[in-house]
Amino acid sequence: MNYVIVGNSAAAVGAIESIRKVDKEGSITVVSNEKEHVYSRPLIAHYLAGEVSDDRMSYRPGDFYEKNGVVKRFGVTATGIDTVAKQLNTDAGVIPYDKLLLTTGSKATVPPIKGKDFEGVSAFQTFEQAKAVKSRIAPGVKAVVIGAGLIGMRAAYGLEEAGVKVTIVELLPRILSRVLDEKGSAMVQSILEKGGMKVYTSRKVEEITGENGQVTGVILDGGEKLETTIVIIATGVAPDLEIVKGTMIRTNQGILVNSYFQTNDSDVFAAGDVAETYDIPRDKPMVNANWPNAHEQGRFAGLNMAGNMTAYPGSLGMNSVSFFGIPVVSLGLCDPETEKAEGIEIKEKLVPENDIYQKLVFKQNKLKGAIFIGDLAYCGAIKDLIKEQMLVGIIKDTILEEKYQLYSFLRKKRIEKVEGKNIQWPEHYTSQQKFVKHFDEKSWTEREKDKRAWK
Amino acid sequence: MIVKQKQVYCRPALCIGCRICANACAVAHGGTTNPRLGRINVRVNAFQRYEFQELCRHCEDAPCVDACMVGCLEKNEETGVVTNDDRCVGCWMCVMVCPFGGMKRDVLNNMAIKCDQCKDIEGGPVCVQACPTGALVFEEREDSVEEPFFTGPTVA
Ligand SMILES: Cc1cc2nc3c(=O)[nH]c(=O)nc-3n(C[C@H](O)[C@H](O)[C@H](O)COP(=O)(O)OP(=O)(O)OC[C@H]3O[C@@H](n4cnc5c(N)ncnc54)[C@H](O)[C@@H]3O)c2cc1C
Ligand code: SF4
Ligand code: SF4
Repeated sequence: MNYVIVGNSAAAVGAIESIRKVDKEGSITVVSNEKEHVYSRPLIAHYLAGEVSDDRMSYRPGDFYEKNGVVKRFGVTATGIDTVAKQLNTDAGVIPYDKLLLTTGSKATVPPIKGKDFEGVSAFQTFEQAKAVKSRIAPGVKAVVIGAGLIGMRAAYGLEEAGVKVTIVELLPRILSRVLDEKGSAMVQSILEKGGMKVYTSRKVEEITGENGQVTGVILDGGEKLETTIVIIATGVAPDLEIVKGTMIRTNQGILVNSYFQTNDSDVFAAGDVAETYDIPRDKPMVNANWPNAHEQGRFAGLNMAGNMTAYPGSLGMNSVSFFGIPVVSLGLCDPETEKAEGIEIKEKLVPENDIYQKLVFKQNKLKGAIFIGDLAYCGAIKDLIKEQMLVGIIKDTILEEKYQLYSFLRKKRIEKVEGKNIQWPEHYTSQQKFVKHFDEKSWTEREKDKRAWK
Repeated sequence: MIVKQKQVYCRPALCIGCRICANACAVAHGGTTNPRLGRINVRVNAFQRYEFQELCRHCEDAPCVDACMVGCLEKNEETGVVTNDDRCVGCWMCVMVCPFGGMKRDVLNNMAIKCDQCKDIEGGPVCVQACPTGALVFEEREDSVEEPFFTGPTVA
């Protein structure tokens, strides 16, 4: 079998690893227009901050390709696919394939702002761009980040940690509007402002000014001028669909795939940021661009390419960032107001003085999304409940307050799972109570009678 | 998710909730005696009775390995043990996805900590060695289904 993978990031690595689990013989070729050994894209923000050095950027050890018998074609751009002749066209000749995987990820969408071509203005998507930005960092340097989405905020926070004075300019009335709700955004904004970062919302950058090809500042609407030597444009990303243009492969927002990651050509697969997959809580196809999904999808796609057909249950929007030591997690459909979802019930806990905000979104007794700021307690369990779309009506009121009931609920689920199959202890344990007795329903209600604070 | 391999299990009836296991773990891995920095935590109720064991289950197709963007979490192919290393930057992606409360936040070192089954320590897991009542056992079980549950932050 001849596997060809376009792109060399999270999804590609997941695919390589899982193909090799099933098929040790077949040849794998990785085509990527980036020249680096596979690196961690989200880490470029930490690189900017000086937290990680060059040599720690790689996502897999140096001998990853050799160990997995992968042919590297780095610095090569794939330009098109010939699905009839089964070959990939690149700027360095054609590459025949039996199974092709597209993991071209997302690319930054740069709006036509005047002056965006000055040196010092860039998007924030690749290691190369991060290196270029880092080379401009010097004492007293100022930076402007346009766009307060996740990537913009990460870039801004990275710069801030590197000692650069950062101003964030966002067109919309609030920051992180795609991953948080209004209260969450307000809380994160106040955390940032407490930390000394400047955030302008509902403002627009009219023009980027420069001298001798070098950026010198930006002009906002209303004529206000900000001096700067670094401008990062992070106004959004979109799936990179360049490669499938003009082919029979169907796309919507991203490349359409079935639950085996096949496109409408069954030998062409797509995974990662570029693929449009079933979104579990929203119950419709969506592009969920994040690292865990990309790796997981690559893993499933690899299995399916190697003939080990395994259906993918679906993806879930999730993200985790920290600002000034305060963790922020967003899961699934967490802002139903903006998305205009119906039949929603919300439970929340807000402690502004401690920077704690937790929110759960329910629909028809199922969890659809959640936000955790400041306190990540139970966040993994909640993610699991969202992913499995379990019926949780019974603990709706108590998840955030009385953690104890969440426990008993999860335990009950487990008893159901192993029902009729009581756990038998091995011979030498017989002096103890039976395991099942410990989970006896009656003793539970007795224990629930008196309220206890859970620590 | 759970694999059949040697795991640390708690025998609820024997656990008295002393948290010596967590302490022993914190000492062995972090050099402190803070039980909150133990990779194992036995949740006890008001009667100091076992409720839950928060511990990594070394999942097959581990969600944390999928989520870790640095690539520092790794499942060893031979032993099946999932380990973290010092490249961790504390992004808490793994904490977000682990259904068993196996990843904990060490906020002082800004690193995620987890059970490595004491792979480098002679005599196996120190929690099992330290447990005064013998409630913890390190063994392979026929029925390895465990309920997911989750942990609070490890504020040192
Ligand atoms: C600054 C930043 C921070 C982020 N932080 C987080 C985070 O903390 N958590 C999180 O979950 N996600 C984060 N993300 C998103 C995450 O990086 C992506 O979800 C993930 O990288 C997707 O992986 P992928 O394999 O699908 O594609 P990508 O990582 O986008 O990789 C695609 C690769 O394909 C190559 N390619 C594209 N077209 C071609 C072609 N025609 N020929 C050859 N090669 C081609 C590209 O050059 C690229 O190397 C962040 C992203 C950025 C930019
Ligand atoms: S840390 Fe959690 S997700 Fe990772 S292997 Fe352990 S139990 Fe599984
Ligand atoms: S906190 Fe550390 S181990 Fe966890 S995902 Fe982030 S880098 Fe990986």
